[in-house]
Amino acid sequence: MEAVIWSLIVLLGGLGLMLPTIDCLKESSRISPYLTVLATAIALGLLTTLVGKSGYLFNGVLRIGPLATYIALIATLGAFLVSLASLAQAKEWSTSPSLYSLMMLALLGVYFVLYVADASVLVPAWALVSVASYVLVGIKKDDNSLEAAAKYALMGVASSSLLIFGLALVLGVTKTSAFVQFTVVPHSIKAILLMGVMMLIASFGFKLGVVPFHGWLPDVYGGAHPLIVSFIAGVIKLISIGAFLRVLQPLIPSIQNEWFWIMTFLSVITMFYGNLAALVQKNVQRMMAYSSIGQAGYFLIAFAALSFSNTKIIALEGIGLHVTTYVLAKVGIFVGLAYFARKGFDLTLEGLSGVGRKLPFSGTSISILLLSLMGMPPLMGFWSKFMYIFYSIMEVAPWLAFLGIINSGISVGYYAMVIRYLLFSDPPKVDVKEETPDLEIYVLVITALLTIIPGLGLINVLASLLS
Amino acid sequence: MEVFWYLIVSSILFAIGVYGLITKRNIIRMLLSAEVIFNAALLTFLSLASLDAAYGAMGGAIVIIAISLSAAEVGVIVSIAIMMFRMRKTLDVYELRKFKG
Repeated sequence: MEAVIWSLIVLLGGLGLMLPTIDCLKESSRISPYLTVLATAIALGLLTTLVGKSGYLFNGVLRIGPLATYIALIATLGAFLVSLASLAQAKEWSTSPSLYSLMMLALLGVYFVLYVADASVLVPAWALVSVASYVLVGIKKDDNSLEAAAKYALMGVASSSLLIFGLALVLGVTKTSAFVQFTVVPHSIKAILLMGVMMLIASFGFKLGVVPFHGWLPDVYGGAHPLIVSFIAGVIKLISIGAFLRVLQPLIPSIQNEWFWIMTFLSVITMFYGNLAALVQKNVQRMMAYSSIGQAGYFLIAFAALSFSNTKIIALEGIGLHVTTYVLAKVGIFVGLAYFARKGFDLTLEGLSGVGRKLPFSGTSISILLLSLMGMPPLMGFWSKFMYIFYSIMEVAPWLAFLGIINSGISVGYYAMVIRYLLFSDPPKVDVKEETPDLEIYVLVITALLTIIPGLGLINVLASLLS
Repeated sequence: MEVFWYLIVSSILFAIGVYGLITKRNIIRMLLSAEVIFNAALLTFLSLASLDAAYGAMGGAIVIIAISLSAAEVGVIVSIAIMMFRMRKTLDVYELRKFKG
C-alpha cells in the first residue's frame, strides 16, 4: 500500500511541481492540460487498488480505510472531470500552467487529509490544500476573483490559526499526536477538551461553510470563475469532511452529549440559512453558493448521528454516499454554468431563461443534477439524503430528520425555479448550439449518468464499499 | 503552575487578534491580527505540550512545522494585497464590494 501512496506523491506532486517549467520551455503549445487529465485518470486507477483495504502506513501517520478511500476516489473523479472541462475553458488563460499545477498539488493534499492519522501530517496537508486554494480562487486576476481571493485567504488564515489552537488544546489533553480513540476523560480537563473541539469545529466549519463561519462562501462561490468554483466546491471542500471524520470522530465518545447538541444546533441554523437565503437570489451562481451552505447542513445531521453507536455505521455510509451526490452535482452544475458563460449567457435567472431548449444536453443534465440535490426518488440524492442521512438520525432524534425534510421542501423552491427558467421558458433569440468539441457537455452527461445509474438498485453495492 | 501564566498570556493574545480581525478593514492589518491569533495558538501548543515528557518533543516539532508553513500563507496573502493595490489602489477590504449592502 505504501507503494501506491508513493506513486501518487510522485505522480501528482512531481508532475504538479514540474508543469509550469515544462510549459515555459515549450512555448509553442501547452501540454499541461492534457498531462493533468492523464495524471488524474492514472490516480483514479491507482486509488482503486486501495479499495477495501485498511491499515496503518508510514509508522502510523497515515491510516488507510474504506470510507477515506471512497471519498478520495470521488475527489479524484471530481478533479478529473474539472480538468476535462477546463480543456475547453481555461487552456488559453495566461495563468493556466499554474492552474493545473495547483490543482494537482491540492488534490494530493486532499488525499493526505483524508488518510491522516497524526497531527504532524494534518498541519502540512491542511496548509498545502488551503494555500493552493487561495491562489486558485484568484488565478483569473479580474475584479471578482480578486475580491473572492482576498476574502477566502483572510478567512482561511483565521481557520488555520484556529486549527493550530484546537490541536493544541485537544492534543494537550490526549497527550499524543496520533488521532486515537480516546474515551476516559477526567472531569477536570473535559472543559479544555471541549474548548479544543469547538475550535476545531470552527476551523473545519470555515472550509465546509457552516453558518456562523460562512461569511466568505457566497462571495467566493458566487464571484470566482465557475470552473474554479467547481474545483473548490467539489474537491477542496472534502478536506473538511475528511478532517471531521479523522480528527474529531475519535473524540466523540468522551463528549458524546455535547457533540450531539453542538452538531444539531449548527445543522439546523446552517440548513435554514442556506436554503432560505438561496430562495431570494437572482443570480444562479450565487444561488448555488447558498445551496452549498444548505448541503453542508445535511452533512452536519450525519455528524450528529455519529455520537450514538447504534446509528454510527449508517451515518458513516450516509456521509460517503452524500459526498458522491454533492460532488457530482456541484462539479456538474458549476461546469454547466461555466459553459453557459462561455456561450455568452448572463448567469442570472432571466439571462438563463430558455437556454436549456437551445442547449438541450447540458440543460437536461443540469436539471437532473438539480433534481438529485433536491432529493428526487430514483436519483442518487434521494438515497443519500433521505434513505441514509435522515434515516440515520430517525431513531435518536426524529425531529431533526423532520427539520431536514422541511428544508428539503424549502430547497425545492429554488431548484425548481432554475429548472423552470432553463427548460420551460421561451428560448432566447440568439444563434448558439451545442457542438461536438464542447467538452463541458461530456462532463455534464457523465455526471448526470453517474447520478442516475447508482439509484437504480446499485446503492447497496456502493454502500458495501464504505465499510 | 507556570503553564497557567502562559495560557493567560495566550488567551490575551487571542482576544487581541480576534478584536483586530473583526474591527480592522485594511488587509495588512487583518493579516497581522490573524498572525497574532496564530502566535497565541503556538504559545498554547508549546505550553500544553511541555506538561508531558513523551509528547513534548512531538509538540515542539509540530509547532516548528506550523511556523514554517504559515510563511507560505503570509506570502500568498501579501501577494493578493499587492495585486489588490495594483488593481484598485486601495487596501480596504470593504471597498472591494461592488454593490454595497
